[in-house]
Amino acid sequence: MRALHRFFRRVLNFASGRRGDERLREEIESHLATQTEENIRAGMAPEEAGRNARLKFGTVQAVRQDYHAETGLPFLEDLLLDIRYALRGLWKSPAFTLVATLTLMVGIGANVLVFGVVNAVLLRPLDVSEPQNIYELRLKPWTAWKLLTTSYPAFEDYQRRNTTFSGLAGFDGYSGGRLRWGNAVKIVSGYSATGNYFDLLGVQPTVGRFFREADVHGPNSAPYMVLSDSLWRSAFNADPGVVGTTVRLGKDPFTVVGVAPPQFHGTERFVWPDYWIPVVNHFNAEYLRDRTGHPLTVFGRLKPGVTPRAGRG
Amino acid sequence: MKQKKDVQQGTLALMVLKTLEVLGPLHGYGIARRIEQISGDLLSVNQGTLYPVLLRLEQEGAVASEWDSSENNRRARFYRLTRAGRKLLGAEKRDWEKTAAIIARFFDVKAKDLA
Repeated sequence: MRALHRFFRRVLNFASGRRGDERLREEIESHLATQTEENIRAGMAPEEAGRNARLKFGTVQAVRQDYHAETGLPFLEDLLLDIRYALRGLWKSPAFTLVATLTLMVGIGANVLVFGVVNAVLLRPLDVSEPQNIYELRLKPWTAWKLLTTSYPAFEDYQRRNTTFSGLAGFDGYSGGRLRWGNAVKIVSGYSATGNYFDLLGVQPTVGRFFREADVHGPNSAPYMVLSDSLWRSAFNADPGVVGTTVRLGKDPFTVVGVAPPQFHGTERFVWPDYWIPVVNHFNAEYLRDRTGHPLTVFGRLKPGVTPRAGRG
Repeated sequence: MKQKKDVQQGTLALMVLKTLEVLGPLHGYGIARRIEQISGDLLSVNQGTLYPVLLRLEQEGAVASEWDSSENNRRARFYRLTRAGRKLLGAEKRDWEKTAAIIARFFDVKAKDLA
């Protein structure tokens, strides 16, 4: 209790920048004067009396140091001084500072990049059934290297006319917003995907179910959300009871239907979604009919026996 | 020549508390003077070391202080014991007596007592 009291006083003094210096100076002055007077009354010569008083008092500098250390938080004060000194040093030699900063930036950046690639490509490759049969669809030259290539009506056309793939699915990796559940809010980003997305990839949920083609009946017909394993763990404490609850993404309510397995983190290398919702609940009715935009990435699974070369025809 | 004894860590605070208990509110010089008198010049205390101790006691809430004018009309800071300080003094006193009693027993022991 006493230690706490003392600590608070020190923090307070430190924060308010109060230093006991002035008070100590006055006290010392008064102390020495009284002692000198007393010495004179005892018969010393004035000069001798003052000297004796100072001798008895001891080293003022040492007292002042102890006093100061007791007033505030000497450790923090020293730390601040050190930081200020370091900054002054850096400021004085800008070339060195620049080079050091750049070296650190490049070093850290390179490490992050390499780890990112290794993590995505080697440590956690796309985990779906028979990935060798899955191909992204890029029908026009301009779509090379692009993620968003196809409008929703065009995707439906491909699906209808397709003969080489056993199925075609699409997704848009640019869904996101504030996720609200209970009293909590979290900024998230995820995919909107066509109804057959999970079935086509052959992924199985760890909890609940995935949304399917049968859930989708036109615009706004499937307010269902699948959580990624990491979001489920970080935001919902891996509670299986989350299935069936309602969350809000932005203003729109979604029912959580299931949780994806930990190995499955979407169908892009470097951007891992927090959740999946159906495309029909991401785009409005108008945009679902619009042929001028191209919000979807389309991929399909080749029919057994069809070579990629034949599929290209 | 008889060596003056250095004051032990922590005992100075105890002396300050006891002095304030006996004499009531007192300024730094007064406290230093009393300690000197009572210890009969056996202790070598630089009077200045008293002030950090006083500050520490104040930060712990054991004493409070305010400016006032002294008996010879000089401005001086007066220290007085708070209730927490009184309690602290009691506890420290008991501690001290217990320690002293234990040490005393060790000194009194003779070989035949242990046989």
